[in-house]
Amino acid sequence: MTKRQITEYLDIDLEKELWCCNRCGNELISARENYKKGCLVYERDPRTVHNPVIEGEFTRSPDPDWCMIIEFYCPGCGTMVENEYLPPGHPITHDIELDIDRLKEKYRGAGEGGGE
Amino acid sequence: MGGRDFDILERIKTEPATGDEQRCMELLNPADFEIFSHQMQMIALEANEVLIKTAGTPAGLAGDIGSCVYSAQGDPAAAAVGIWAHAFAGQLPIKYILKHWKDEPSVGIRDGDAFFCNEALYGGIHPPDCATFLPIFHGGELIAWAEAMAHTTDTGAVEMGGISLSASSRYEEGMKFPPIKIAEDFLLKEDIITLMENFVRDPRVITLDNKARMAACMRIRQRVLEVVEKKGRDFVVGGLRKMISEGSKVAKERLSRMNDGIYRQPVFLNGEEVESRGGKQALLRIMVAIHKEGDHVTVKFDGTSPEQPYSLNAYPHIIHPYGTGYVCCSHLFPDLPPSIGLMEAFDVEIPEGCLMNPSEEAAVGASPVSLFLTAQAIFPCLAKILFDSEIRSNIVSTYPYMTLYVVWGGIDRRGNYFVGLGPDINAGGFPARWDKDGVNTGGFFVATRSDCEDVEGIDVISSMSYLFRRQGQDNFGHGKYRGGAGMEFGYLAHKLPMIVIMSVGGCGKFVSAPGIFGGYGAPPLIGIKVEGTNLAEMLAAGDENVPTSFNELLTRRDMIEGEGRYTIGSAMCELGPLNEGDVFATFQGGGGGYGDVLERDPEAVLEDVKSGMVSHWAAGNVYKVAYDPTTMVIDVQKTAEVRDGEREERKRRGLSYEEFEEGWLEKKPPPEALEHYGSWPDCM
Repeated sequence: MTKRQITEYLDIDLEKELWCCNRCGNELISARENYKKGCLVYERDPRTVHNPVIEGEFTRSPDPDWCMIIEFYCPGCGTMVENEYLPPGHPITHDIELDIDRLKEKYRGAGEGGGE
Repeated sequence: MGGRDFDILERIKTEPATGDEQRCMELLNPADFEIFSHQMQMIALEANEVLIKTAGTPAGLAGDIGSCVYSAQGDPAAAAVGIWAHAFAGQLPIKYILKHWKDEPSVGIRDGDAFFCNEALYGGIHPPDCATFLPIFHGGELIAWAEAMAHTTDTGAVEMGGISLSASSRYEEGMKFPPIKIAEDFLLKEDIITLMENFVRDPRVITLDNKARMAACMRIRQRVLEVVEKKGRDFVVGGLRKMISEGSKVAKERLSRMNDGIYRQPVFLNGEEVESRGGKQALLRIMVAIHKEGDHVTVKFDGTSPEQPYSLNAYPHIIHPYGTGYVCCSHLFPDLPPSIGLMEAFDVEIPEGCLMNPSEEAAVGASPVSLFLTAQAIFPCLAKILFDSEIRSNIVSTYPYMTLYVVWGGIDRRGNYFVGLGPDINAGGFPARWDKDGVNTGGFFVATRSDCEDVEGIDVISSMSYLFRRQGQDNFGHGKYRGGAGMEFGYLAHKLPMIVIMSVGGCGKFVSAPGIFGGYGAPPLIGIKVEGTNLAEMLAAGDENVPTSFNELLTRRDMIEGEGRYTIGSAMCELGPLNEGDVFATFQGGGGGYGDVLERDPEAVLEDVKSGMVSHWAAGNVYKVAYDPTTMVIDVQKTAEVRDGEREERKRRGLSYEEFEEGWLEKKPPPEALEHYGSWPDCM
């Protein structure tokens, strides 16, 4: 029983019960925690990704008073593991809360891998 | 006795099999069942073709329809799209008819009858979604139902188009019929047709649509009875039931192999009140938590904004056909025959009083907007469920929030009153996939087989001319794989006696589709109205300065001669006149991106720049690709250096989670944004 790939950039090491970066193997945090707590976090002004075409109230970019981009990076390799578009101050989402005991039971004795 | 019956609205699950259904199922051998299953799907598809070819509504012609063969108990057994919700949403009205009208002496259910319903409180969706249900009898016994639904362009609300933006209660939403008998002896009842015509602005369309839905149901009846004649009554009764039971069984088996857990996603909408109600922007939240355990899924909506004083509200029973129905039929079980059985594993829990479980008095005309948003929350959850599964290849990022619904009406070039619906709704960008980009102008995600029609046809049928119509630049989510581009389009009023226009959009300040796994979201939707242009004359003269894209219209005001008075706002546009030479332009959302932009193949970025899909600005600032803009040759080494530098920069500027939360949680959107949100931040 080793690692399962859970998302594009996240593995779970079932033996150690840890979230790990799929790209560099860096161990992030307990698999029973929100993986985002093991990432570096950056608050990005959406205008640096969505170029405002004009000035004014409606610019084709999210309004930073209403919407910011929160980026989560692997501390090991700097890969952007996930991001969220949130109103300023909105709590970070615990988006994946796996039943780790069931997961371990499911893959007991299975080889490394994940999905296809 | 009739009257509202909220117990009926709970009966979204398959009814227990009767003893007779059980007996008939056991008579079927597997080979015959497979042939029967395919036959029923083809019958539903054929009914859809009948509906498309005979409907009067532009939405019907574009394929915003659905047809389905139902069991005698009123459960969808073989659906075809159009729109999945249109095929499945007959379930509750049929169960109402069976419970309340079957033994009611003044109504009854007889061979040759057909019923109509467009009322959400009786199991419908929203007023313009008009449905016809036809009982199929054999030897005097009810053995099945035929259903056909189409979005009819006007149903008599205070504003044209069926979706009223200014309605604040159900009493401003026009014609809303509970299940009502619309035909006897296979003839539409002229008194009822006249009643409907009397409600609406474009009586030709509502009557044509009534006939079209009746024709589609009659085709289902004809084909089902042909199978009965050939194979017998028991074969059909058992086969329909088995389609549902087998679908449920296989779907649950597949679900049980996926990882158990809780998957959460909030989505946000900046809704907008129309000018006549204050014109305020308002931030709303729909919070979805998917609890997946074994072969069962519960979709919870705790923390969703409260009921709204305008028509974005939606009733819980509609989540099933719209939200879970689309997810099941198109992404979880696209290889299985579509029936209500696929949704059997899903339950929905929604707190009373919220946007998705409003009071009886609520306006619900724009409920699909909230339903699209719900689906938008479900897809990122689904991606996280599917990644470690046997169907990872079905993963997509997020479909765009409300692809815009534009309605126009007035007096057409032939002098008729008319109401038209922009089929551009069916040209949104599709989300990035786990192994490739999203499809540009892929469609309208809930309307799987619908079509955006050609501009010449729209000009002829709906009297609207296009200034431009094209795939938009940077209007999708960037990522390792980018979302598909949505359609941008500009309408030009030309040679029309009188026309008014409105659009149902919103999301002018917030991202219109989030990304997944580090992919960015798609930008907001906005709209432009330009009054007093001489663009028709410029076009006639072959003037090269005619704007050919949304951004050109937005930024190159110097290109337009004449007065050219601009109004730039969100894509939610209140009903107003479009005079000769005026332009209204907007665009469909693009799909969300997938994966880190730094992992995108630089060659793919450059190809997008060459084709105009990605701007030079995004290629350099977002994708961090170094190239010569004159020769369009990539500097491979420099690109690698820039990207490595950006990864190092991320590690430098990123804070620990605790450090970040310390500052972040003290922030808050401006008070005016939270007026309709509910309590901050949890909407509880």
